[in-house]
Amino acid sequence: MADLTGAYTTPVPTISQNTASVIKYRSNYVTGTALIALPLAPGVRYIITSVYTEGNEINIGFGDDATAIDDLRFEFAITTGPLDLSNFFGNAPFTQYKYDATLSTHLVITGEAAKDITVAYVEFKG
Amino acid sequence: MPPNFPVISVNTDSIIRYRANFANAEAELVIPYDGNRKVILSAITNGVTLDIGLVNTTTLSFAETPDDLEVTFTSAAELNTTAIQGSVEVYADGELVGDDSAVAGTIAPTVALFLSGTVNYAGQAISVTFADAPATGTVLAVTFRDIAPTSSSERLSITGTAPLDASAFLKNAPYSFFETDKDVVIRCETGKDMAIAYSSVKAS
Repeated sequence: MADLTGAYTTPVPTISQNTASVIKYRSNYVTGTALIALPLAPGVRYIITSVYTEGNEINIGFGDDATAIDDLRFEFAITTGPLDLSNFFGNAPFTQYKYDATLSTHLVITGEAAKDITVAYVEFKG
Repeated sequence: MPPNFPVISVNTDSIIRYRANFANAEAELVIPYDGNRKVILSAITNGVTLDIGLVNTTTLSFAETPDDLEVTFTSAAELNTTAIQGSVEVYADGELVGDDSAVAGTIAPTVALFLSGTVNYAGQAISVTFADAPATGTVLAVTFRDIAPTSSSERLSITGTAPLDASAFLKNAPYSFFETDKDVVIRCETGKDMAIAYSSVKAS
C-alpha cells in the first residue's frame, strides 16, 4: 500500500462487515484544545471514525511524543471553522498504524490554536 | 471502570436504526435508567455545545410527622455544588409535588400541598416548606441528580458553532455507554433547544 512519500507501509486491519458493526458501538470520545494525543502500543491501533472541530483545520499523524506530529498522514483546512469531517471519516475511517518505542509513540490530532477538537475512536487489535 | 460496550451484529445494527425514539428539550434531557442501554444515534442543537454522560440519580426518603411544615434534608455525600435547572424533585408518597425546573436551585410547587423549597448547595442541604402538613406516615422523598460534568461522568463533549449538528459524528460512532443505575444525560447550552434520536437495546 502506498501512503504519503516516505511513509511506513502500514498494515491494514482485517475487518469484516460484522466486525465493522461490532466496533461501531465501541466508540470512545476525546476532546482537546488544539491537540489530542493518543498513546500507541504494540499491536493496538486507533480507528478514527468521526472528527469535529470548532476550528478551521485538522491534521492527523504520528509523533515521537504527545506534543506534535512528526509523520503527517492527513491534513485538511478551510477558511473558517467549524470543520466537520465526520462524513469524510465515516466513509474512510483513519486506520493507519505505526508504532516505534521512540520514533512513533502517539497518534496525534491537531487543529487550530485555542479551538476544541472532538474525536471518536475505537481501539482495535488486528 | 472500563467501558461496558455492547456487541452488536450487522443485523442488530439495522434494527437499532429503525427503532429510533425521539426526544427534545431545552438545556438538559434525561433518559432515566431502566435496565436497557440507550444508544444515542443523532443529536442537534441551536446552541454551540453538546455534552453526553452518565449520571447518578440519588433519592433520599424520610418518614414525616403531620406537624412538620418545614423540613431540612441534609446529605453531604451526593449533593453537588453546582445548581443545574431541573435536577431536584420532591415527592410525597410517590407523587411529584415540586421541582426546580423553572429556576435552578429554587423548588416550586407542582401541587397545592407543597409551598416552596430551596437548595443550599454550599451547605449541602435541601429545605422544603409545605402549605399543609403531610398526612401521618407520609413518606417524603427528594431526588437529585449528580450532573456536574466530571471526567468519569461525561463521555462526549462537542463545542462548535450554532446550530451544532452532531448527527454525522454520532452516525459513525453512536453513544452507547451504559452503567447500572445511571441515567443518560444530554446537555446543551442553557436556554437553547436540542433534539435527539435514540434506541433502546438490551444492556448486555
